Amino acid sequence: MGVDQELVKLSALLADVNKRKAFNLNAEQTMKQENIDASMIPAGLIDVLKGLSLSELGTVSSANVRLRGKLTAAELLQIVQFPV
Amino acid sequence: MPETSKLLHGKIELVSGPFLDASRRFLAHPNVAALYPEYLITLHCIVRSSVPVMQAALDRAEAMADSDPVAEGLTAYLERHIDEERGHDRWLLEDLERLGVPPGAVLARVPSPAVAALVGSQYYWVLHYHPVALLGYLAVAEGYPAAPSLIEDLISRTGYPRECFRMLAEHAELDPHHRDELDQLLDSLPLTEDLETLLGLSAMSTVGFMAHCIREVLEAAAS
Repeated sequence: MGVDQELVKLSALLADVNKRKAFNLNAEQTMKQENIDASMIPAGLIDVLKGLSLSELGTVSSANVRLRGKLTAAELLQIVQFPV
Repeated sequence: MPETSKLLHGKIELVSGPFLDASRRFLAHPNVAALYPEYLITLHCIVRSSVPVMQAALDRAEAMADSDPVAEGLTAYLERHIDEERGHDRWLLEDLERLGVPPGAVLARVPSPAVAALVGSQYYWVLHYHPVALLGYLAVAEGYPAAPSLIEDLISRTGYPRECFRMLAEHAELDPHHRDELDQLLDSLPLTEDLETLLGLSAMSTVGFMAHCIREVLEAAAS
């Protein structure tokens, strides 16, 4: 299984409100129940998700984006910012 | 638990894929010279609200400060930051004027729903929940400044004079300091769980609306 498949499974987990609640209470156990190989998920991503409240998890899910970990140094150079 | 600022940047980057994708499309666009004035006009729509929305947050924070330590912790920062950000909308009008876009044409442009949602959501949270929400917005806008190499690339690829890039160049220099200052403030505030959530929602929605704003720039230049 590749990282993309694990991320798809993780996104599907978060799209289900009951699984989202379960993840919020016990992330590791919920991922295990969904057969998600957490070792394949980009570094730091699970830690951030575990730090989110239930309503933030809902926002992440409804944003419907490909979840990702930290921006790399190269990616930071490509951000077209709206500096205020 | 990680520090508030570290976790907040994690939340921002978690949903940053579409923002990065839209940025890459902008940078790789074959007619980036046509995109750049559109980008500055959108940026002006956003930036002309910066001081007013910070002032609204400061007014709210001052009104709450006696009974709310987080609001109290915001006031000195916002007072200082309002002074730092004042006049940046004029820099943009000057950049645009050097590109041949008169101020009247910039101000006549109807701001898009994405711009209204980006800034309007901050007014809502500031006025109807808690002014600390604005720090989520600022964490995105000041936390990821345009790289000097990106500005040099834009100068080279658009063929526009360096003087047309003052807004980006000044922020590339100022915002790393502003980001550090904001991170220190975030880590010093006695935030409740609800206010941590508010910061995350504010920041993550800001990322989404900014991605939408860049996509609008790409579409405007195509039409």
